[in-house]
Amino acid sequence: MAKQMTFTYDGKEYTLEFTRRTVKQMEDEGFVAQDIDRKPMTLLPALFAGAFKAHHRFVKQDVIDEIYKGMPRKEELVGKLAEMYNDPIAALMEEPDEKSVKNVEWETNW
Amino acid sequence: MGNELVTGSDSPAATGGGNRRKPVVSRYGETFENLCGYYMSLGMSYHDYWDGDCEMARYYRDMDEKVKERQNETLWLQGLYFYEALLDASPALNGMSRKHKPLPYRKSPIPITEARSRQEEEEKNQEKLNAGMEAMKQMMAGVNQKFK
Repeated sequence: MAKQMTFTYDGKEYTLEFTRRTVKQMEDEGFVAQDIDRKPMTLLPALFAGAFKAHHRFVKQDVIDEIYKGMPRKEELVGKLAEMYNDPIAALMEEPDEKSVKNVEWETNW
Repeated sequence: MGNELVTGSDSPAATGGGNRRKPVVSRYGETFENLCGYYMSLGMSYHDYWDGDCEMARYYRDMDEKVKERQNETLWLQGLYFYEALLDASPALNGMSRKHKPLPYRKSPIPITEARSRQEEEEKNQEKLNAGMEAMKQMMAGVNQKFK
């Protein structure tokens, strides 16, 4: 299974995931993962928004921003998002390893 | 001033020291595009490659390795049959040999599964037992003949 992040917001369940197509789309839109250290304030929300493209592509940007604002443990969240973002390329390079594949669970505090 | 000197917002570090060079920033998208054909050759659909679970690629590679190993084993087995057949037919091919009659080709395929191997072993034992019983019967018949 690909790395996914699931949570419920406003009674709706969300599954965040990156596919090869969504990673490519983000890059085509100007997202450069290597710039994350230089421009974290712009790129981290963009990374979060990009994770919606696979399963919730029609969710509006302001809803995504709202969800992002409410996400707890941001530092850990960003680390997990980065891992998820790297998953499509890592899957092309590494051997199957069932143990390393885990789903991440997230809850909101409101 | 040339147009290329003022275009683009990438820093020299990101572009490898100048806009004339290709950016050194690696794009996953390019790698994905380059490898798409390879994964499709393994049997992965275009949709699965781009939109499916990204982990699928690992299992397609794993499958490909197993298919190659199986093919290799099949070819090896074919070679073994060919070698055996050649040896069996060799008396007919040897003009200097007194016996020109080729040996018969094997009756059944080489057992490659455990169950088939066990079955063959049981059949051989049964044949031996039957042959032993037959020999015993003949011996007994011979002995009985003497008392008549």
